[in-house]
Amino acid sequence: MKPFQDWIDDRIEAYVDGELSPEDREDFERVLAVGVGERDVLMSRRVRDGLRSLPRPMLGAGVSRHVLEHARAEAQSGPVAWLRGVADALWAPVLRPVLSMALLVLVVTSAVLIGRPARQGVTSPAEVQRALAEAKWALAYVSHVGSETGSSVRTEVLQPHVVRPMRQALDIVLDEHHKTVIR
Amino acid sequence: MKRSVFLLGLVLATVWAGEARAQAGIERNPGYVNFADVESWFDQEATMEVNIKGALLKLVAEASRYDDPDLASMLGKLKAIQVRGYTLTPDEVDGISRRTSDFSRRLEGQGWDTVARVREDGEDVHMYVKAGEDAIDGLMVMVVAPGENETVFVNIVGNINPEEIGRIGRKFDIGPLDGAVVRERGR
Repeated sequence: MKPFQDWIDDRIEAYVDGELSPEDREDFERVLAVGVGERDVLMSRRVRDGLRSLPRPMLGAGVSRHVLEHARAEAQSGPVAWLRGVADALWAPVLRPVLSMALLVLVVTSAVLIGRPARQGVTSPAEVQRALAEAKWALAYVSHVGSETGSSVRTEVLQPHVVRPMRQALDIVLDEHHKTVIR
Repeated sequence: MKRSVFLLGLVLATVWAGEARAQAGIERNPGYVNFADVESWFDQEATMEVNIKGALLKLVAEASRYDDPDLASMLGKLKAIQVRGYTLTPDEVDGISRRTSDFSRRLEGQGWDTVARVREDGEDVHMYVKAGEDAIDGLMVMVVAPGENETVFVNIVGNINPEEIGRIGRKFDIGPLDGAVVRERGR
């Protein structure tokens, strides 16, 4: 019998509050229909209605603030709070420029270590113009040498390979002509 | 703020690393000639020195784009222009000529092709090109002669069209540059 009473007790509150599933509600009402638990349900409804009719207590104005301050104080006392405090201190406005400079120094040092020569300063427009003049000069010089050596090569090649053979051929022709005339 | 500083550092590191790689890269270029060897032949500093490469070469190309688009286009394809000029007395010419001939043979051994080698009127001229797969990667001109700034070494690195250099170079003057130039540039 006790398990059955427990089954009823477990469902009375939910039944009064309308929170039973349709199946449970149907089973529970079938039990009530035979007069079991009817008084408990009535009692439960009276208690609920009585509680609802009581005036609602209001929190004092300082209670919320006090609770929040207390929670904050507890949160600040843990190890996570300590780490957060350290991070905040490191990133404080005083240390921020120092850390930024340290990062830049690290980057510059890395660049030097991988073989980049130090920059000698920002290139000014005058330097660019100067470099342009030098580039033009270098191209003009190469062009000049190319044309000079081209003419030199032509002279060198023409003499042994063209002029001399032609002269020899002409000599042979003239010799032949001379011999023919003599005969 | 933290993220901005981190990103700034990352960008700077990337740019510097890229430039460092580019600088190291030019010396590995097949058309590049290390002038340290040439400089070691002389007791004196070069009286004329030009080193235009990297960012400076790009700036030079852009600076000429408005006045001379052909020149800008050609310079845009180059990687470096190096020049050394020396003043030799007649007595010094033979020694430097011998070293230049040795250096020429070394260039030939490294796959450079002879374009011209002329000895005329006491002037020794060598011109070499380094052919790549489908372009010329380097041009080297060596002129040894007595006189002020008459001994000149020129190395042009990049995608080179000799005909273009000849055509564009003819437009410019090879009079003396303003003052002797002895410095490093293009870094």
